[in-house]
Amino acid sequence: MAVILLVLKFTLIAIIYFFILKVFRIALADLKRVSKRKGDRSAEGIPVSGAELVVTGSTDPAIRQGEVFRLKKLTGIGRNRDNTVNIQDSFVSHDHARIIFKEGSYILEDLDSVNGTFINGARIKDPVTLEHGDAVRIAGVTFKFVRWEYEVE
Amino acid sequence: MQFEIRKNERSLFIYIFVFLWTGLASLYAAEPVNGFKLPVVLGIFGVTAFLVSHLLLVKWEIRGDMLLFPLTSMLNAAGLIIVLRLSPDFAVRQFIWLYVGLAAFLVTIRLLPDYRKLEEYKYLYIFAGLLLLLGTILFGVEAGGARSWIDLGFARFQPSEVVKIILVIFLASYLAEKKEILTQGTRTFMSIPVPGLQYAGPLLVMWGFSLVLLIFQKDLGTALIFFGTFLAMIFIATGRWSYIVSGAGLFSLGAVLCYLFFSHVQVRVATWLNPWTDIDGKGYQIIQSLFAIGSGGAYGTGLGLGRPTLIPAVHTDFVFSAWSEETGLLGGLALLIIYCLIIYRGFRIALNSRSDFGMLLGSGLTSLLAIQTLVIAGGVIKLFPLTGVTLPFISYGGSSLVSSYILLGLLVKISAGDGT
Repeated sequence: MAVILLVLKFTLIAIIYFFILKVFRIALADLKRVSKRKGDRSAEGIPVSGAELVVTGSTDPAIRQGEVFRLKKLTGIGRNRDNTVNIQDSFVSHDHARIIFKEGSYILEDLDSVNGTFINGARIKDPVTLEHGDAVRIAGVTFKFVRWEYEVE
Repeated sequence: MQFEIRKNERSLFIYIFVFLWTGLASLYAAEPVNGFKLPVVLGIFGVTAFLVSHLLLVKWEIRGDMLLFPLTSMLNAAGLIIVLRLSPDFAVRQFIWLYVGLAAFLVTIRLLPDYRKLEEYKYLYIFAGLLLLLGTILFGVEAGGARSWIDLGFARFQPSEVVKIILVIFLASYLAEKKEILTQGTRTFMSIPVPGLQYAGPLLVMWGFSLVLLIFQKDLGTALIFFGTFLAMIFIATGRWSYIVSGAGLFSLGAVLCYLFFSHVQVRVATWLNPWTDIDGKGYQIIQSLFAIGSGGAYGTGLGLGRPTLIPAVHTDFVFSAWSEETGLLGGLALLIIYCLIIYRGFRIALNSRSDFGMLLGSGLTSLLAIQTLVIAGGVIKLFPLTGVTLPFISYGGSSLVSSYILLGLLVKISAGDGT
């Protein structure tokens, strides 16, 4: 009897540690996969996370539907040629709005434009942190804000 | 049904089932007089509960974290075994609570459409939390020295367990909104930016909240957990040490005042500093706990072969001592490693979250679990003054188990991100 108890006692402890080992292995594999992906990407000079504006509707012939603007640290939107997102529309101000990347989030700021910047249909006054899937409208052009990142598992 | 998803989770559950049955077999082998019917029935019920929950997650194609649920299930299995060993009556009830807890877990995952919706009702939470707390103060009944129970007739319920989670959700939504202002401050004091009074308000409200708990419910542990979680969250949101310093100052002030005015606080501190002067009286519980852990040695006495029942309140607050006595240092450490892994995964989920709210909610819930584990595990080994709270997922107690599972559900929900 004493032998059985002894065997059971150590089996029980052993199972927990095998379980922990297995969890460690899965967690490590997960970490390696993520860092490998990051390594691959950064080697090619592509950031591991970022965001883009996808055009979902446009009245400006120069901007086609489905066009993608990758966001930088500072992305300007307006009628001036030096803006990343350049919209030739008389309803768009010269420097209409800008998107700043700050502490991991993208903040959309309206630069006192005449006709306003709209997020999901509402005109913004103060800078707004963009969320994945937000619809941004400036004059006749509508963008979808897409945040991309390498997923966990 | 797509069997490809959650494959890792399934492979981990095999270990848990073998573990559960080995534990039950050890209990039977140690004391065959208790019969084999109860362990067998409970074993079948236990396996069914976890298996069905896992399969439902697969069926609903939940693509969230796959390690958290097995990790907590392992703790829960250990809890079921040790509670059965300590008291078969409590074990039967604990198995019922297991089903309620898993149901709460699945409901949280399935019925909550998008966790970010939670952000919208922030003032409702603080209201609900205060109401529950006030209700407990007015209609509460006392058990184990703390007046923190509401008697529903068929079951007793501990509102503070639910309030903890409500509070974290509230703080996450509040801090996500006020983060910038709280970080930058609105005026400067000796060239340090200080937020105006209206922004320091929440700090004072939380402090008051914890003190009320402490004074009216004599619930030291919960008060400590509330305030600790709050400080952790505000630090995560703002990254400013000044909140930690002023928070710790307020906490010390409150602690000193309570020590001066309340005898039960003095007793806790005295038994922590030196329990040996009153071995048969006030120091009895903690000394029995130390004896239990010590007599377990490195490998333990074996399940059912120690004498953990000598410790008063062993199945709730002192379950860690009982487990350590019968499975030894190895068994006790294993549990602590599992807690560390849960905390690691929790913070990882928070870091991967795309919104401020998700990040704060994830890290807040994880901090809550971490602080609670630290407070009680540290309490029973006499590292801190003992405060009676439950060890998450292990201790006997319905409210605690159910709220732990809701917490787990929220974490899995955050990891699954939008949509699912």
